[in-house]
Amino acid sequence: MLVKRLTTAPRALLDPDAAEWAAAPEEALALAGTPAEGQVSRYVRSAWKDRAIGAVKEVRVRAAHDGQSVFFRLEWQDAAEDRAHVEGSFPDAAALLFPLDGEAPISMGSSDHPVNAWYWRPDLEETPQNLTARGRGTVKNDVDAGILARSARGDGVWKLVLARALRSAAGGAAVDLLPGAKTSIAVAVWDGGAGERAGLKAFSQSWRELSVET
Amino acid sequence: MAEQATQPRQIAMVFDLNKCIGCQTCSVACKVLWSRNEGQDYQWWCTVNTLPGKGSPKDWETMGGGYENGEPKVGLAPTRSQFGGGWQFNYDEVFYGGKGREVPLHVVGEEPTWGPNWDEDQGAGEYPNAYYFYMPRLCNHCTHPACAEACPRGAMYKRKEDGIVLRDEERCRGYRFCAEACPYKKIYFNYARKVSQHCILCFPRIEQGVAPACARQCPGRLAFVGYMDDPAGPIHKLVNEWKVALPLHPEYGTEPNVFYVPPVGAALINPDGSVAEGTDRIPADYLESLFGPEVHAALATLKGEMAKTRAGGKSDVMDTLIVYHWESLFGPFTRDPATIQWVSEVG
Repeated sequence: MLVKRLTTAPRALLDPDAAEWAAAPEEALALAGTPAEGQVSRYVRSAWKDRAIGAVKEVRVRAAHDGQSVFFRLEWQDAAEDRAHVEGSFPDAAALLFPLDGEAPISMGSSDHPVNAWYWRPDLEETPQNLTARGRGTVKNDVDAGILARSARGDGVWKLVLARALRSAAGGAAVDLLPGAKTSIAVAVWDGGAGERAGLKAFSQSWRELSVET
Repeated sequence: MAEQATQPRQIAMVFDLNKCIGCQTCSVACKVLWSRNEGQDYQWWCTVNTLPGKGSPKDWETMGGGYENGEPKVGLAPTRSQFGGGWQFNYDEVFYGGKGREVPLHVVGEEPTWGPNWDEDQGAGEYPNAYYFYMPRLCNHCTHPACAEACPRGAMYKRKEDGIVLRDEERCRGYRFCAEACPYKKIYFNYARKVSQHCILCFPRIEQGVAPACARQCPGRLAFVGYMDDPAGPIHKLVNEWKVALPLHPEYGTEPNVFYVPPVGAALINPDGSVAEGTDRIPADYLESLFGPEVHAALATLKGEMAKTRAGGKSDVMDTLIVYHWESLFGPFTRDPATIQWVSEVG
């Protein structure tokens, strides 16, 4: 995946419906549900062993930067708009995952090889969480990395832009995405109305190479 | 602060259901102390329900959770409306708006369909043999807490020094698996703060030698508090020695640490109005469905001890259950909370 360098008005790309996005190539990532047997708690494994996990099957991603900030645009189908923690249901959510070092496993990292996630839910509004993790069940709401979010609803569709300065302001608790950098990226999407939260999600299954255009 | 014990210890409670009058003082004592904050309007960590009845949350015994044959059983997280409560009232109108003589106090907004003691005093049976009793319920601080095992983040945990099950609200990310897994449905999701909450056995009071608020406020003197391993304490005697205090729904597999002395109840009344001595108005099989088959021996012991004292004899069991002096309820937790200078923390 390429983070395309574009020349735009500052923060124009924050808007998911901005015309400028057409200049960034779109990639369709196939998503699969996380396996029930891989869930951390015995209760969750038992409760979800016969249930479908991963309601959302595909997410379309575009990535761009303007030399100052990086923007990721996600679009996925979810007919029901779940915005909040309510009786019987959870908010929809999406996240980007990056390894904080080259060895991190995609399954939320490991004790020696952490990962960094930019995690958004509608109830977090324009301030997504900067998470770090060292394995499943260890996610930590870490140092604020100044990530911004803007979302919009289309026809049964979520559109989301996650944006941040190219250089991490959160020290080691977030990735740098400087021009010329090569790292990896993965994406996860939760359908809150289907009871998805925590490790119950649709994810892009393997690390995808991410390169930031100079 | 209590010193870290080298051996894990367990604080337990016993409620004597022969003495509970359903006054709800315990429910209110807890409510006033712990659950008046944002998102806690519907939370009653201690509830007293009339049995037979649907309880709180409504039909909680059908909501699953716990264990079956050692395996976790799928459960439902009860909804706010199944718990009921948290109603808004027209206080402004009645108390401050000068309309106190025209308008009754009433619920504002959605019509309630259930509450923490909705079916109070309904019970079962037909006159003159209708029957019911009251059961206070709170978190059981189980030895095998299904909630703690269900949480993938370890936000629910059981502490070694006294076995109290607590949550780390900073670690909780609002997944609600704990609420699904608890078979007693005593975990309340705070929709405003997006964390799960439940009875904490008044641990800040326990740490200062003060009994939990529900127990200390109980005018019926029916709530015992103590360590399971204290041979001189009432808990050990009632649960392990005399076996008159039993866990609720032991088949849920979590080994609760709140126990109940089952209600002996009255005898049946014959059609001619005479008392059918030796019979039980509360059906034994109903009590067995709550407490398991051990309830029959417990009831027999209680009846035997009651007969002993009626005949003028002495009974340690009855002396313990009568509670001539309130301190005997609380083991080491008899300190007066008014003697503590609480320092409130900012933030």
